[in-house]
Amino acid sequence: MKLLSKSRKKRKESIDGWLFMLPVVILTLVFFIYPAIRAFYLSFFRYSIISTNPKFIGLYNYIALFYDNVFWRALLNTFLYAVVVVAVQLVIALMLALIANTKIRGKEFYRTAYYIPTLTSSVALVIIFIFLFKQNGVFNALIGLFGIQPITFFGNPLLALPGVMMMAIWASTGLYMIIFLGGLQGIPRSLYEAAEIDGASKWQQLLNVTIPQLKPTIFFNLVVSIIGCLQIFDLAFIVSGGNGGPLNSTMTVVLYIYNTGFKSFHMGYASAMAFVLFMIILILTLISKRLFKEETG
Amino acid sequence: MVKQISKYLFCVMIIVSLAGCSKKNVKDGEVTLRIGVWAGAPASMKLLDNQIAIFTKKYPKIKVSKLVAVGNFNEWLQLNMASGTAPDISFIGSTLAKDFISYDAFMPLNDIFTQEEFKEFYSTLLDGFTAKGKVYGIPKDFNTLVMYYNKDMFKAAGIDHPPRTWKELESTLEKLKKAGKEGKLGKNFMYPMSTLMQWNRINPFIIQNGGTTYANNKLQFDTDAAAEAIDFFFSLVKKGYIMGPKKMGNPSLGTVLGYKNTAIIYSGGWQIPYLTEAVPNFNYGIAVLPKHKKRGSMLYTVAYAMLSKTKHPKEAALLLKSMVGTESEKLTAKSGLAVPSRIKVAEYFSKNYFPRKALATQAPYSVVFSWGLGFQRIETELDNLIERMYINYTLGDKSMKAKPLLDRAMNSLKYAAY
Repeated sequence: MKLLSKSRKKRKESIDGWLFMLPVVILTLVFFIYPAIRAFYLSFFRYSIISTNPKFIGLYNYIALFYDNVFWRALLNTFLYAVVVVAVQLVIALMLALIANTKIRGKEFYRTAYYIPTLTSSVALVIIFIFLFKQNGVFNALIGLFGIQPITFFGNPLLALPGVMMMAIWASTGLYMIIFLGGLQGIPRSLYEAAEIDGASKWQQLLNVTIPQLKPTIFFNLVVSIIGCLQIFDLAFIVSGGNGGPLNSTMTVVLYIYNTGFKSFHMGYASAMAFVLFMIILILTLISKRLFKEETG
Repeated sequence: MVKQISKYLFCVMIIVSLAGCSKKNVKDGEVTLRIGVWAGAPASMKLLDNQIAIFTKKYPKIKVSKLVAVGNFNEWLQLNMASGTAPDISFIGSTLAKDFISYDAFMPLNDIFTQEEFKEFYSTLLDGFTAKGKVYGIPKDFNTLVMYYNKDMFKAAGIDHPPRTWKELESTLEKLKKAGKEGKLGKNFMYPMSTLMQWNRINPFIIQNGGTTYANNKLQFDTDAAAEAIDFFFSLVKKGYIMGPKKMGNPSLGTVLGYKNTAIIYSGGWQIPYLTEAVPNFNYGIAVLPKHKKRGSMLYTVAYAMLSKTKHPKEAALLLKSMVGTESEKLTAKSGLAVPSRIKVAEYFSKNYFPRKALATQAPYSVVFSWGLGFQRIETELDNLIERMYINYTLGDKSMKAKPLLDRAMNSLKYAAY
């Protein structure tokens, strides 16, 4: 190895650094940044993937979006889904993390068991859930023991979305549990000891020590979970066979974007929708950030 | 050592991946045309092969390769067009034709056919593929929505002819329901009539009542005539005369008819091959749909179109003309699978398949299945409307009226047709 002078070494290091980053930077530019900018540009055109000569139509796509009741239903479904799934998921995840952090027996087993559902494929998940909850399936047999009439989930416009919510909660709670666990283990024992000396009960310790200390973790989980939920596609697509049924009850925004762009020829319209969704998620994230800063600051 | 090997492996990887970018070899003088179709029953595929054979016999120098779409045809065609691998000639259904045409997907055919030649086809069919005064697709055959009925059940219920008016339809269904209750129609009998709960299957009622879904390039379904027709249809559902096939145990109309779960279905000629094979001694009849203020039915048709990016327009034109030529259409007529789109050949079909004649005779007063631009959005909205009413009339309070739903749908579709 040649001995390099200090400045040459520095330059070499920075060149190496850039070379290491180059593949990721190129991929991000080509597959994320450029398509996003181009999609925004195309949202002002009447454009389809078979277009040879897209026609400029200004804000027409956005106006059409305003009158499109399927879009508003999709937005409602997506928000409902996000609120319920995020709330239930985080509460359960925190509870599980608290339990898994104690000295109970077999806690390693519990940690693994709760995390494994996050690794399942969406298709397998939907098939199993539909099987369990069908008219003459396991769930209806169980409630039948108590004399309750069988309930159709995925064919019923009122229960299809709750069914999807159930699947999502089951499948991703484990992930947030692990993250909460990490956060819990970062809380110094001394805080708990001090609280005990002051005479705080376990419940008071939870409210006044654990949760405030977990604020950054809760914030992270909240934001990541909201962003993920607002983009729900795969479960809705598989459960409804792609049509967001029955009666648009499982239509989510991303599913509608997909259908509009690839089935209905309206890629420009779909781009407008995607941009609107992007703005919504961005605003929500900024609001969350604001709320958390104000509380901790 | 490891570094050397990995360098070579890397080069090999690059070369192998570039191999996928090779261009097709084109031998001199020989043209290969690609024709895009969707998969069908073995009988339809055989018919297609025979029709292609007529062309290759006449033009041995031109090879024709059949491309069968995988999955949804509309998506397949769009993806292939976007990636430059589209066929030269392709099937196109009447539903999406206007959308494809608006994106300049197809070449106008007014230079290839003369006005006299166009007149040899049913004009109602050509309407589905005409835009801005030019014709972009030639229909190859068609089906109309007809009434299939179980002749034995009709006899057992004391009905001597298929219903010809709305009033007769109601009384026929009433008699069938009564006979079914009395056990005269077999143990599998569930409901007098079945139809798919889709707007296009209910549209004939709207036309028969003087209304329309789409005319003069505009959606016009929010009329009282349409609301009346839909309310009439669901009044029959309310009385327990009509049910969707799924509730009778099978999503296919042909099956619920063949298994004797029902006495009447509204469907097209595509049920015939199934009925012939699955229930060969089934005594059924085919009748035109009952009329009210007018006669009306739906036309389901597929055309051949020439892709505008084709590299062999002259040869593609010859293939297109042959596939909808009299000789090819005579084969369609002989197969009985659908009615040929040429008026003279359709008459030949009616003569040779007299029991199926209703499929052809309804053509002049039937409406082609096309709702203009933005078809998929429009179809979803209208099908949802029917589904909503169907749920109300089967599981709900059975009192939903069509007019407010029609107004809401029209408002939602205000900006959808582009």
